[in-house]
Amino acid sequence: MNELERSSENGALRRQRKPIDQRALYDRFGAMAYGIILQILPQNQAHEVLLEVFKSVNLLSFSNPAVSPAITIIRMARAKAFEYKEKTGQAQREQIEPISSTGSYSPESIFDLTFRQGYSFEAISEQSGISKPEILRAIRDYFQMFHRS
Amino acid sequence: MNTQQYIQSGVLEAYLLGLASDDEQREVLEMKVLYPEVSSALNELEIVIEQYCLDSAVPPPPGTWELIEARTVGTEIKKRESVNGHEKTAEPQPEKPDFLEVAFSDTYIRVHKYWRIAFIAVFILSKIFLIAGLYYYFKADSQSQEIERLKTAIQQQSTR
Repeated sequence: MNELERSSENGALRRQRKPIDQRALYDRFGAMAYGIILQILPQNQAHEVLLEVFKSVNLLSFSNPAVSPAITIIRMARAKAFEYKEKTGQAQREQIEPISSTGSYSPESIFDLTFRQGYSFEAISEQSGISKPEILRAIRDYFQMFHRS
Repeated sequence: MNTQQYIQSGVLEAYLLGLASDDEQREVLEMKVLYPEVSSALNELEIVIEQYCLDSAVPPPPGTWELIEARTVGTEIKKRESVNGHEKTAEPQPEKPDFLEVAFSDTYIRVHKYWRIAFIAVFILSKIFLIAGLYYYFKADSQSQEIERLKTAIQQQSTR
């Protein structure tokens, strides 16, 4: 399926007024959500979070036309993974560790710190000395690099 | 800041990834409504981000959907129970966990509700046939006894 077809399908899903079928969402985005969760949590915990994501009642009222279902799933998977991390106390342990041992901050490492490790822009800015606009631009650069590759 | 600068600032990526603050989210939604360039940039970025995440997709372990289904059904039952509980009693309910433990390695099977009617019909029919069978059995038995009795009566009459 090419990007155009996928985007039109996404649009169709987005325009649906009735609740989207949970099974259809799982079939389409289950692997994607699991991949995101695995970037944040180990496998034994990731499975539990995946169940929570798709069990979530928010999925049944998927009527937010502001973003596509894929984006909603991405956000939800990430949020649930960090919620789980916080609940199990892993987040606190990691907060006291230094953000970067090498001192280098490539767009990829900044994306990793924000998206995968869950550091706030303020925390990264404080520890690395990089301003928030620069962090945002680094995230954009990371996706630009991905898009070009 | 013009729209191009706004698009290139990276705030749209942060918004789509769920990294933006509430103020930034509101701002992006306003900009999306006001400027078609922002709206189309968001649509393009959605595809890029979706593709990025699909590239790192990992198939979930087998049986995951069945577990999700079981938990969803459990949540719905729990919700219905809590709603009914509020209607009947106004007493404070003890705090319960947000999830319902569901045993998924059990020996139960789920069937359509119409099977209940079929089972009842089969049960009633089996009883009717059983009663009819017993009735005709005893009737046939008594008839054969009557025939035997008549035969002996005829034989007795013929010997006289």
